[in-house]
Amino acid sequence: MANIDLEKYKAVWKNERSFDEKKLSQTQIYEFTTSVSKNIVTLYKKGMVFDIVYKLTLLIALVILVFLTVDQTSSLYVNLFIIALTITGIVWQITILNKIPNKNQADKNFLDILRSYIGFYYKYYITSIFVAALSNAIFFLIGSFYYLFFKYQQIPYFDIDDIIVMGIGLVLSYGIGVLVQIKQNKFHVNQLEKCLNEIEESTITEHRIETYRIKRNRNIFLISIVLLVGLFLLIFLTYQLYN
Amino acid sequence: MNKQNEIEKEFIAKIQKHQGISHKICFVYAKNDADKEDLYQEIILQLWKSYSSFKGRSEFSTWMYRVALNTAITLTKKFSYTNWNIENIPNTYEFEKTMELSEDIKILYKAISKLNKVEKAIILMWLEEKSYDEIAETIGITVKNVSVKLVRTKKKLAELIEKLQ
Repeated sequence: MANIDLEKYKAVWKNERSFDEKKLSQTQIYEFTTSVSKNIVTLYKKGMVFDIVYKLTLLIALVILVFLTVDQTSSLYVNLFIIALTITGIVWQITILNKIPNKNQADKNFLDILRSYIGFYYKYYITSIFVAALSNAIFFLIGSFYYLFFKYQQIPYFDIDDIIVMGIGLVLSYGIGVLVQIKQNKFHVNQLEKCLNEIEESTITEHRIETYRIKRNRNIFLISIVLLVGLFLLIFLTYQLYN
Repeated sequence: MNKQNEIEKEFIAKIQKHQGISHKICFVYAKNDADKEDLYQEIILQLWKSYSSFKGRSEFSTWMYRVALNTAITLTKKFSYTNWNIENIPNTYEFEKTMELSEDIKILYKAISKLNKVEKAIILMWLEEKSYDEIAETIGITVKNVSVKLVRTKKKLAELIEKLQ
């Protein structure tokens, strides 16, 4: 150890009177109790609630579109499919919302809290990102349908090149949404993982994180397959119905 | 409604009495006044949210210490608290008015700022003369592990202080 008397610094710390000064008034403390939290759980929650509201708005727009194009039986199936997809997404997100770690965790120990947050992220939140990104694709689809409806007073039949353009638009709007959200949330989770590693500094942590990663990759793979199948089904249905 | 107001008043009075705990934790974990205020706000908020779980089995100050440390550890930011230039460390610490700190405290502050989040917690609890049992319980590791980590962290702190002198 360096030739430093740490006990001297300990004494200085104990005798530092400035820490004990009453810097904040009761009014300021009261204001802090009514402020909005910036911790990771609140970020998860806020993002998810915002997306549920966004999907509900899209759902209303979809129902209106169904009524506007009620005489076009061919578009009805496509719209109903998107409505079913949106409702499934909302139900899924509400389920995940209820699984967010309990808010009264602040008096647990570091290890339990970090494990709980990281576990929640890999087990549930990463999956919900894929569901949340559906909103962008649905928005793109509804926007295109509204544009076509107001331009032609109906949704015209799609040629193969229209379907390709729509498909690329859907993939891009979905993919960008997923990438942005994963990047944002990963930054926060990396910091928590770093803390967990600092505490355990053993292979147990690495093993646990590795298990989370395997689970996450498996979830990503499965969801991607389901979504791709859904997307192709949608394109196929659209093509069949409009030709 | 009146009972709720009473609980709120009681909570605020306790926080004001023990606000030195939060100031110390903010001092160790935040790098500038804006970060300190953010962290302080988050600590008060988490304390208020968890207040119903405080059953009085331990001292209020012990419970407050644990919640405040947990908040500091788990609060993630876009710009890390630890990633800052040692030359630009402010010489003052507080929210509203300028306050002079002793040279030794400034050196200690600079050295602690170079530690990682968990090391900061361990050193902070050591400075506060918390028992090994208490440190172990707060972090969630064994007493033996606390002993190992404390020796290692103190060595690192001593080296940092030596470099800064």
